[in-house]
Amino acid sequence: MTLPRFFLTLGAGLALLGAACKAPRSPSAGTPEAGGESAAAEYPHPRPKPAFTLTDTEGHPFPFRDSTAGFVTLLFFGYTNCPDVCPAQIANIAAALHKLPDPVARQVKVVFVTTDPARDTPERLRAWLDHFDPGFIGLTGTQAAIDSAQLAMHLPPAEKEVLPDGRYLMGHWAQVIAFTKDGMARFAFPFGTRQSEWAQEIPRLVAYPAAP
Amino acid sequence: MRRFLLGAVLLAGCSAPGPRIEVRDAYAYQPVLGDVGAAYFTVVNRGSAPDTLTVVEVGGALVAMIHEQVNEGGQDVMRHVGALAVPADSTVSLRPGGLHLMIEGFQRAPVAGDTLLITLHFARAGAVSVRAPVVAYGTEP
Repeated sequence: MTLPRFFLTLGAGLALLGAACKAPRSPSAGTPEAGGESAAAEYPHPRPKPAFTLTDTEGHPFPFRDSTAGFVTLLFFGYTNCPDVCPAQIANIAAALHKLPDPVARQVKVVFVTTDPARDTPERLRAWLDHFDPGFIGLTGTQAAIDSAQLAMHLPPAEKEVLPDGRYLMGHWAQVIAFTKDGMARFAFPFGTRQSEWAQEIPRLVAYPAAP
Repeated sequence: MRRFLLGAVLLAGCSAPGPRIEVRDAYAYQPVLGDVGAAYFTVVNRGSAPDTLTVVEVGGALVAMIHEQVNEGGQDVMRHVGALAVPADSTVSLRPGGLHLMIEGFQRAPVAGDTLLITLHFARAGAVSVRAPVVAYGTEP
């Protein structure tokens, strides 16, 4: 069984995204023939890794494509004042990676790009990511650079909703974009992907295109 | 005779106008950096009238607001929910990825193992309190 057969098409996956969040999901151990229960949606047309450059939490330039070349790369746009989706997604990825054998986990880079550079200082971003895994990469930059990075992935830049008291909420894509080692974005993991599903899918991403 | 009495009681219960609110299954996540957290619960209205959740208070925290994640054109956008409608004979659940209670301004950041006291103020049913155990993000039920 090759990896792609386990995944829904992107469109169908997005359509299911809302429903997937509302009900407990069984681990993706079931056969795809039996309803296609799966963690991720497959891009109908894989997209090459974009070449944007942002700044890491040490203040160094981070050319995304070059710095992650040859690694399975999990890319997520979010912000640290997000209490719901962002920490849950990142916590589940961290927990799954920590359960996997080190030789597998070492082939994966997790990149969190803040969509809220005004509040997410490099120090805050680093502290937030360290809570989950000190190896996770945090990127920031100017709002324009971050917007460009999202557009490079064909994602509309995150929107702000300003509250009556002047504070604000950010919108963002809840999915994690998965690049295989060949530098192609092939899968999007929706919110609601469980740790057991990550633990099953990450080795497949590492082994892609071969079945592990 | 007993059966008749039971029937009478049930009938009275069913015909009593107004909402009958119960809040259950509450839990909260330990704030990652101590400043922003989330809590979830389920509101059950077994009554014959709707109610509205207008204000939520969390013991030891200054701010608690219900937010909803809605998908607009593929992007998940946060919306502030000022008043949460609880229709008659319905269940409204807050869950990750949908409705959540955002909590800010903790006097002391709660950690896993703590319990938060959440008080929900309904327009008709009044105040209902529930205890929410605090768990770490990544804790799956």
